[in-house]
Amino acid sequence: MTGDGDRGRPKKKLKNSAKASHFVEYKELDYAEDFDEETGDRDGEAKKRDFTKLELKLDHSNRPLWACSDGRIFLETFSPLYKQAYDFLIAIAEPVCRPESMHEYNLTPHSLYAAVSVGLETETIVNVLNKLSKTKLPKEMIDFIHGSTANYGKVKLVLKKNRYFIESPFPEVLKKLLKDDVINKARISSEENRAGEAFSISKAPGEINTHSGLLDGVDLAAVAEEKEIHSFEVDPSQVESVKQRCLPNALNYPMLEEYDFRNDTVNPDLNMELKPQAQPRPYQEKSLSKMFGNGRARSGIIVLPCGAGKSLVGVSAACRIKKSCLCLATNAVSVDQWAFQFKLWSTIRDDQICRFTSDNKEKFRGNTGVVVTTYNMVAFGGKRSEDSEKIIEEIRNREWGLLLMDEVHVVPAHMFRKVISITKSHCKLGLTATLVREDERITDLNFLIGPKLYEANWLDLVKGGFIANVQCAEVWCPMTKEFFAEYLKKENSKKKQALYVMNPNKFRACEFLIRFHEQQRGDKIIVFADNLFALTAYAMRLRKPMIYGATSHQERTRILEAFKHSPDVNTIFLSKVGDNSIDIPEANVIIQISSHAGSRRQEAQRLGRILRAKGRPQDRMAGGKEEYNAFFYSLVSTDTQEMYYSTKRQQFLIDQGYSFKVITSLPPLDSGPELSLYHLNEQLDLLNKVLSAGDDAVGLEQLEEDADDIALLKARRTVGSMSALSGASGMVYMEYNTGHGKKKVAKIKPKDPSKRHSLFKKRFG
Amino acid sequence: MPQVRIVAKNFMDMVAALPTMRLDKLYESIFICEAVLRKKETSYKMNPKFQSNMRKYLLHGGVLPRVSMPLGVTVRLPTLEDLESYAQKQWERFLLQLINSAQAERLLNFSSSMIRVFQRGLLSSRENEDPRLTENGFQFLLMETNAQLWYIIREYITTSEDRGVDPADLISFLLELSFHSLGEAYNMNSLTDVQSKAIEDLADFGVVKLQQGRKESWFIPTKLATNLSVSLSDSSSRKQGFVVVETNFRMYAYSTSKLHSEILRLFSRIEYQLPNLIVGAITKESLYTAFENGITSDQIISFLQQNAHPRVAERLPTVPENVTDQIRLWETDRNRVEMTPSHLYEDFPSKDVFETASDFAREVGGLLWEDSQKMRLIVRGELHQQMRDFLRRSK
Repeated sequence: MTGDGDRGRPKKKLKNSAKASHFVEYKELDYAEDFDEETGDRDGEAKKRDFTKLELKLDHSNRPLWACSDGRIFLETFSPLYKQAYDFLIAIAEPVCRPESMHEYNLTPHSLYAAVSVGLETETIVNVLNKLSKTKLPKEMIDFIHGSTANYGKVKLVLKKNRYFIESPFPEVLKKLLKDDVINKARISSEENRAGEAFSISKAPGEINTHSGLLDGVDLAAVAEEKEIHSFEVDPSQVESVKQRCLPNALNYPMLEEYDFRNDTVNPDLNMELKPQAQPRPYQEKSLSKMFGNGRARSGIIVLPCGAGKSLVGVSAACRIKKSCLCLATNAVSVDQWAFQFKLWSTIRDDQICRFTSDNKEKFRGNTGVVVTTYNMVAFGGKRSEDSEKIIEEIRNREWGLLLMDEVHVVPAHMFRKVISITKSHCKLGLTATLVREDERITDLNFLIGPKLYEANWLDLVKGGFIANVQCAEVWCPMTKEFFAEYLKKENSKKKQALYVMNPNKFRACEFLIRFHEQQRGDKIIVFADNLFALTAYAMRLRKPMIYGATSHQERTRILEAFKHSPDVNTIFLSKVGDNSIDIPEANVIIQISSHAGSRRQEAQRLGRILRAKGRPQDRMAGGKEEYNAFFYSLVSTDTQEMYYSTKRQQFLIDQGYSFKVITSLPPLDSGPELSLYHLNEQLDLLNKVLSAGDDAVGLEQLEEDADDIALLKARRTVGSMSALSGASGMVYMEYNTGHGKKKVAKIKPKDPSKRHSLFKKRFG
Repeated sequence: MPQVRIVAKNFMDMVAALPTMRLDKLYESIFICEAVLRKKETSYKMNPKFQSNMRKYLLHGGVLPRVSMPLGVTVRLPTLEDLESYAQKQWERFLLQLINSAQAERLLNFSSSMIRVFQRGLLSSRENEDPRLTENGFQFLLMETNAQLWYIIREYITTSEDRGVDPADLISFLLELSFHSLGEAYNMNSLTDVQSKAIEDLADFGVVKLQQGRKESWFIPTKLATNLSVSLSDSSSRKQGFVVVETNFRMYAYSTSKLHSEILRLFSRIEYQLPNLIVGAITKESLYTAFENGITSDQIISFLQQNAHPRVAERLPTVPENVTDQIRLWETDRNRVEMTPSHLYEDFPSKDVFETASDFAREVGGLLWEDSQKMRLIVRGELHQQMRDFLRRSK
């Protein structure tokens, strides 16, 4: 039996949207990876599962969850044991959806791998799960847990005093490993036990009990402490091949990597501390405790929503390890952002941190420090300038205490492999906001970086006031008769998108929303459009500034400054460049007029632009005057493809507990010529423009990476490789979190309809 | 299809509405006195026969319906809880069979023709199709148990003549039954032929439980029996809600009942069935099936609201707004197409004929569409005769 994670995922189809046979190799990643997938496991199959035969325990009402033999787990959030059960489930299972009353999780081999790697043992998982379950645990599930954890987490690769050791509490496993030729050759036998199979034995470091309060924490702690650890040393030059041999496709004992940084006397310490004002929030604290649970540093991935303060987690981790740190970001702007974050939160001296981008080649001084650069800079295989070559040499030769990787979900696997093989690091920490799980890349991430250490619940963070409470709405704009007639014609198949984006009703709805938010609420608005033709047409007609791929750096800065500071510039139009490299903390309204097909991630990332909590915490709480102070509108033309995509795009957010209101009455029926395109002749004029524009002009914007070495060497045109065709090459994404250390105000907010924004009260009224 | 109004009124109101002949017969039963006396607020003019019986009743006091059997004879009588769950289960089984569920175990002694009688108005069947629940049927399922039972008993009584049973006999027996003590055993051999036939049917409804001893057999009235003649409003204990609907359109029903799962299946996709939880999703497809069966969005929404689990019942709104909105939107989405029966006219011999025809159609207000290039017309169906006459004339 396999878990849900492996269940019949639709295979990705290759979509070649730009019909040319030549490709700009380093184009932006373009979200193509979740283009054609189904919205989730559960949509594909309607068959119901009957587990009525499971035996209910007598006191089932006191227990918080049901577990089914296919790996699905249902958790009641109103149970008194919810908090403990949540912490436990998030450690052992993948969240499927987490709305208000009932959460669903899936047990998968990956999630169990993550569980054992943070120190949970097979028996503990089964026991705790059994205690929390309302029914007797199905036998299949117990078998599945045993099967999945039999090999995982048994072997650790530990770097101690710059010597690599393979550790395990199970000598028989080590013996099995040593039967493998590669591993046997890599072994360095010490003098005293050259004679036989004997391993050096030591006491395991006690697990600092991170699950305290979880029913009986006693069990957990006891198991961890009694174990004796057997180990043998391996040749540092052979470590990579030993790791390879241990992967699931070979010996299947994937090694967990731990770094005993306290006992590392070879690498010099970096003197930096968190500043006193840097107070990690409870969930940040928790994610760090998963990473440093046993006093060593574990490699793995931490998942926090946009705006929840991922960078503070990264900086805190670096401050604990106190060794040289290599921080990888997705582009030059985000490099600046990270450097700024390090200086903001830690006591690091300016001369200990340097940025390395195509524009900014700061030299590394001293024997320790933090280097911030992009994946591309490190992985780039072509010819470099002399300066860059020197710095890269420096990076290659150094032994890094921490390899901090931002936005791991967008970086292709081959890039990771390259980066990880180029740089020597003791511990790897990946950060991301949206781990879209159907993505097969999760396998790569699991074994290249490490398991998922922690994942926060979006709704809990909203309730805690850590991220903004966003009101999401889908605005239905009926196509006008004339546009719809053209939309249906076969000869316009390439113009479909332009036609539904330029739908006059959509335009009017957009104009109405901009006016409403600018004039009545004094909000700052971002309008997103992927379609360049539409972007230009909208921005010109509404006389608003716009930024797209070709906008120069100076121009961008000028527009963004004006948006931030000028009371006259309250709306800007952004193409998809705004998804990633532009940080606009002031904005609190997003209007999306066109988007990239069914990409759930783009939707989540765009929402992330306005997630950063604004205003005073007390205003954001239940009953506060600003209960909803951020708005996300997605404008869709009814009866077009857009409707279908829209449903798909929202899935990720809906699974996090967000709900999309449907608004059908925008602009209001009584609105007349005060909004544009009121008269039929204006509409027909627009229609003509759309129809007479070339097919290229109305297509999607293609972006080139513009801010580092690669672009300076000019995008080379090559015949598209499979990975390029599928969109799996190139760079992408970023978003910023400057968690401003908002005070936690824990209080649950019931939704008060009277606090609702007037637009939402209107519907059906 | 016969129009059936679902009346869930009081037993006594129904009795009062019977024709005189039937009433006369009924007044021979003493239990009618007892029942009438219990109802204080309304007064009735006394029928002579009734009057004399009444006098008898007042002079000699009430008569116990039937003496319950001594404990020695009836071993292993069910506890009241057992009896209640038996009644509930039995009723549910009956309902499942009634709505033709695949889940139903065919154990009832009702003939299929009898079941069809009960289904009248609740299910509709188109040709070559499995019968489907009608709007009334859905409403019926959403009613409270006593009201449902009432509806069925009504049908049972009104059709009794077809089975050669006098309705009055049946009514007086049902009345009598309601005076029996809950949970006591009564000997079967005290029943008349009509009654013992009826008692078997009633056992199928869960109104009584039948048991067989070594020599004797007996019936035990359940709560359904004692509630029969009591006004419905008294007995409608508020049932606890069990459904939680989430903003992501997922639905969790705390229920062990197959019937609940059948009801939910009418408009949602059931994905998991756990010992005490049913997990489903409200999808566009599942709702479209419901709409096609004549179930309305309002019915679905009010069902979800009325049966909201106590955990979400105090929350406002109990069913997330985006879900209720979406259910309504999906329904209105289906109503965008209007059907007009009409006729297509083509192959006009000449442009002139075409144009005079289309002018005529416009004049009489029946022109729906025209394509002058291909010379085609679509005109409202009801004007076909006029059109034909016109075209014949213009030849």
